[in-house]
Amino acid sequence: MARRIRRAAAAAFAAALMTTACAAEETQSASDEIPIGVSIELSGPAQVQGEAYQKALQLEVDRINAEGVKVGDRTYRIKLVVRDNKSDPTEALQVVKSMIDNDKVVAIVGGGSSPTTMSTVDAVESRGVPTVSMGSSGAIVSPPDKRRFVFKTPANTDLIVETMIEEFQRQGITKIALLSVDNAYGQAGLGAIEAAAKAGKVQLVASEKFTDKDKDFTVQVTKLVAAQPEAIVVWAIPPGSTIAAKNIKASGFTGKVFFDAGAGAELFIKGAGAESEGMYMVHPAVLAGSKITGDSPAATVQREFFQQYTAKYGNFSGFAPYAADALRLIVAAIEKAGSLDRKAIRDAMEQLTYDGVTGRYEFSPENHGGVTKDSLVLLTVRDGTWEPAQ
Amino acid sequence: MGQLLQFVVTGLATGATYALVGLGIALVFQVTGVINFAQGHFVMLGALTFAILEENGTAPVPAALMALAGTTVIGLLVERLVIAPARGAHVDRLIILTIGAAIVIEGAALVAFGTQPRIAAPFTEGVVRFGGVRLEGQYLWVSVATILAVAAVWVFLTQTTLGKAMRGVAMDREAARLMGISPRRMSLLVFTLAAALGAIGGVALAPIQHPDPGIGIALGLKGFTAAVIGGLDSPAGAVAGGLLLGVAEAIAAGYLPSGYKDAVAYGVLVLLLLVRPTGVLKTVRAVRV
Repeated sequence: MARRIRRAAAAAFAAALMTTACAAEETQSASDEIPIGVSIELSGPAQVQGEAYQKALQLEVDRINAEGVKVGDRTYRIKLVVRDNKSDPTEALQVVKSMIDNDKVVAIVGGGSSPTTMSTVDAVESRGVPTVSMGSSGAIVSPPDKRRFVFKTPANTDLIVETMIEEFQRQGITKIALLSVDNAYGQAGLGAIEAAAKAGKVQLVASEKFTDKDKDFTVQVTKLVAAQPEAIVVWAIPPGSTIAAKNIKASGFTGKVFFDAGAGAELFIKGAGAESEGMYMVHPAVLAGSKITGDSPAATVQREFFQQYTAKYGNFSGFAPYAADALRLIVAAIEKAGSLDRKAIRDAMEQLTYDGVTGRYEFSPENHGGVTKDSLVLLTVRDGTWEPAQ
Repeated sequence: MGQLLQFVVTGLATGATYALVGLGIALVFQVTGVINFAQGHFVMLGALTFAILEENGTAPVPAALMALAGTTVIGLLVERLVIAPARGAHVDRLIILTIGAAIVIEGAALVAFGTQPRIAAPFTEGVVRFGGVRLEGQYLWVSVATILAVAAVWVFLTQTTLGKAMRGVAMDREAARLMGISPRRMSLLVFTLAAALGAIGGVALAPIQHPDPGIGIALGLKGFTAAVIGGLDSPAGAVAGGLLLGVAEAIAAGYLPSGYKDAVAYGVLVLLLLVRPTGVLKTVRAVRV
């Protein structure tokens, strides 16, 4: 009996280690194609992001290939090599190595999140492949001398925190608590908030973590509320952000709730429903979609992308613009370099100033990271949709 | 103090989740000696089909019944196609076969339903409050489902001829066979029953779990831990084990840094298997099977 149970336990751990294979592949060959690798989360805890990325990339590649990419006097088509990294850092590294060594990609879009990018930065550096990540952690692009080939589209974590803190000051909030997911993405948020607290900009009275497989954070929320913060900041992507919104509402917390841009998918509003009403999120303006006003180039690009995406897929995702921009930046760098050489593409990318869907990029040898601060706005949930807070 | 109460209540609520899974595992083990690692996947199937049907406009009750029927059929197929043909094999091999079945179910669910997490509406809106403690209303439904499932299993095992026959097989296969009870039929019956229990759990859990095909493994492991705490061959023990595990997790998360929650749960499992493999709720039996 006892022995049988012990053996069963061994089998249980074996089961825990196993995962099922789910590889999405797109392979076709023609001479005038530029192979670009895509490492995204088509399954696993960050699947909500991966799906939006895939849709956005499909939309973009169709648009780009309709015109073609001019390199010198030849016109190329983009061939995306899409691979599922299963939201797993280890898998992401294998995917990236395989795309570089086997598919000979000239550049990489991805990973789609901070954990799946951080595991791959050394590999793309040593192989010299320009990579544009959709992960937000500042560590993805710093220190600059060890991230010469790595760029990213989401705003730096500290810019998001700065935007939040401006709003805290405007509303007279001094004491905050933080609920963050326990991975590279959540740690980046925690680090930036702690740095702001150390600088005396805000008082962090409590901080709790949860794993991306947890389905209930009531215990963590109870501890946070007990510290009597005026606002709770949540650093999580769906479905974690959805669960956090529900649990915070259920706890009876009456203060303000702020989310990082990662919470910004349609699932958040759909999943949390009325419970998310009145909560805030710092996000690139594009999520407000049709409510974006103004005739600036950025506003026009954002409105167009929002309309095309919603026309094709029905609803919009806050994650889509990051992937769309990653591909746009690579294409812009290729055209600027006039070459398919990886090093030349990297050098051109570093000199780019570009108005993307997410906002404005001003890359330089010191700055490979994300949109500028004025691309970020504070959104709030009003009648079940994201709207500008002011 | 109010905090401790909140942790215990939250722990009992999540513990009911583990209890529902553990119940099915213990039931199958009791009758067949096989630890069914596909039990979490039965729960996943129940939750996923319920949520998808509801998303597509089916009313909750028919959606629940369809999820129940569909999952039960899968349970029946798993027994007929995977367990029954290998009947003569050693229990270890059967256990590995259930892991194989679990992986096939997950893979098939991925292909059929995609990787997207689904959202089901709670059965009733709102938050329950009592004595300063707050709880999402859906957890009450999970508790109700657990209580009903335990009661139904108890009545079935002790009050019906079929149930008694099943316990007979659990106690002594050969003697049961001599009394005209077919262990093969009982095996089929218990897997079907376990799948049905899994589906009931899945339906109750769907609004909380945001089900996708990947939730099966984690649920199965927590359920297995619950069953082990309860001594594996006692459905009531599995329920007690699940509740205990939930409370231990919640209190650990409450008073330690919350990142240690899973470490505590699986640490308890490893410790139990090393120190007290017959479960905490039972006196140690000298007989080895």
